[in-house]
Amino acid sequence: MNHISDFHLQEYIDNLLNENERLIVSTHIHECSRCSERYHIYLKFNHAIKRIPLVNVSTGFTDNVMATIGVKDTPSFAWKVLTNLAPLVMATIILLIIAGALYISGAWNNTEFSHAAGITKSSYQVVSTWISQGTHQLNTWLLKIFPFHFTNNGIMLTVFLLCFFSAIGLMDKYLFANLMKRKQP
Amino acid sequence: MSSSEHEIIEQILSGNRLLYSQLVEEYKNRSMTLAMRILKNREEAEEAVQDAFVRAYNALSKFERRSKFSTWLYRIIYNVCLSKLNKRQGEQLFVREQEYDDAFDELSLSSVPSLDYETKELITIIQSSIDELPPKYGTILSLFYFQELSYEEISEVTRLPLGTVKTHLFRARARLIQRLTQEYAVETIESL
Ligand SMILES: [Zn+2]
Repeated sequence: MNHISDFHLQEYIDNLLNENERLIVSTHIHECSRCSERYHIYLKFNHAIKRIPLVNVSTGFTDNVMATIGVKDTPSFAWKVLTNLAPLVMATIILLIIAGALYISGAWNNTEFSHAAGITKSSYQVVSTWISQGTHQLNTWLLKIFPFHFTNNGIMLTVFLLCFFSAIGLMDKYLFANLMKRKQP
Repeated sequence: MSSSEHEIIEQILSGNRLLYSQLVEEYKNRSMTLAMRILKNREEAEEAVQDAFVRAYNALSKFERRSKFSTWLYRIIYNVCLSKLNKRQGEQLFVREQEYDDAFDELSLSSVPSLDYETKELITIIQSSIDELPPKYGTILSLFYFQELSYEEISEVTRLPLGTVKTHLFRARARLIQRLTQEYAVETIESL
């Protein structure tokens, strides 16, 4: 009895035979247990090999490619504002730490220091009045929109605002930007 | 090639260059799988894929719209990998391995037992067996199963005659199945 060669069995599975050849192979497979078994080996193999996972590239691969070809993702407005504010926030924190250290050590009440500070005191008072008035206005306004108890406190309000803008910035960069990209054709 | 890919390429060429990242995202892992089959080294493969994506971007205006973007891209990846392979130690993908090939002409699955592996186990064994295949068979096998190209497209990517593609694919599969059945025979004996 002539059997179907492995080569033709593979061609049969890959759907490369013409109608006449297909008929011959399928009839033979039904009648011959030996060819039927080999056919099923190939089928099982095909099924298994298609389930082998792909080899993944490292994270950041696409960004590297885009950077190499000189195309950069333009950051969103909110993110730009946030990143530009970052040095200012850091500078403020550092100054506050220095001032705090001076105050705790008692150097703040030292006569020389007080004298030097007194020169700018009058102009500082004007500015600080504006700031406190502005903060009060903002606080009243915020309390109407966000009626949380903690926004009543000046420090907590600052913390709240920082968290609020950081959250918007992060959501914009990682969530909204991705959603927008996906919508593009 | 899908019309949306056509549109993306049109848009990239008309200035929306950021969209290229979508094509990179779509094909990066398939491309990596192909490069790994040829180079068999993760670092080199990733370098080759990145290089190929950059080349493809720079040559995008030369891409002929009547062919599939994937086939065109894989051709570039294939070429980059081959030149890396040549640089390595003058290695070539398609050297004539007379003895090896002749052994396969004798191949017959007539006496092999059927595969009783659980599919998960089968997948693991096939995976490690593919890694042991000579690169020329691994490459054709990858292009067929993982990049999902037709025989004609594989011939286009590798510039090999259609008959050679068919023979390589036949031998690659036959060798893998032979390996599987050998493993099966060993395991059956051990379990006795
Ligand atoms: Zn038969």
